[in-house]
Amino acid sequence: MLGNGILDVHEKILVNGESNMAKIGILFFSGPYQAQSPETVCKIANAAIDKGHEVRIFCYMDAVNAVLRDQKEIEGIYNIEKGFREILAKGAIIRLCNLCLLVRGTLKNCLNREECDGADIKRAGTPDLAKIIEMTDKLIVIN
Amino acid sequence: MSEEKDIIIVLRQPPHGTLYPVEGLRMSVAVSGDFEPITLVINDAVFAFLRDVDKTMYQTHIDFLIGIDLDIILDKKSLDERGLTQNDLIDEVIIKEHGEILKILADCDVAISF
Repeated sequence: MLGNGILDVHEKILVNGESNMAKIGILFFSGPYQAQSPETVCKIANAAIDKGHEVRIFCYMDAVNAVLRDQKEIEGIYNIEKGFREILAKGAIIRLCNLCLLVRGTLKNCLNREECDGADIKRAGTPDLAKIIEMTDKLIVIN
Repeated sequence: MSEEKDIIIVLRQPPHGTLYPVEGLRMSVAVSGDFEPITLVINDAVFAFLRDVDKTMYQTHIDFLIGIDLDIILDKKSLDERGLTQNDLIDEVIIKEHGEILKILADCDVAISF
């Protein structure tokens, strides 16, 4: 049984020696440029991937808008699109709630596999979150 | 095949002014395809289960969860703080003491809060 902290995942994997790679799921809810959540998601994912872990992210509710293209770069402000492109390039797997995009009118404005050089990003349904929970060692929920 | 996981969907936000209870219940329904999630209701989210509140957007989710024998559990402390009793609520929900709610949360593998 895993503990409650993300560090437990890392420690468990190392102690058991079964694998040097944990599977971490991240579910988050916040849109960009209002709270720090999307930036935090990118940074946690980056750090986890750099340590060799697999990261799967599910963007739910306003969080789907964090993965829109053409976000303006402003000096001193973390660019969320760039952050997501970076973790996608490193191998993060990202799923975007289809219905959440649909009701926000942003279905055609989100990043996709073609423009991210084949990275694993695509629209999905909430049952895909169940798959992420099933496949990962720990799910981090960021509101 | 991964291990079985205890999934808790925690509803915290009120049904008026937010879509969180609707989305949380939708998530319970979605996750029920692979797991047997418990829906825990605390704080202002208890208002979502009043008899007379407009449940147009989530009645089908409640019906579905109850129909497949998944529990919707309300925190008695949250009800007491709001002057609510079992008589104010729909029949399908279960009320538990705050200590039991905490234990359920402590024992679960994944908690997703809305």
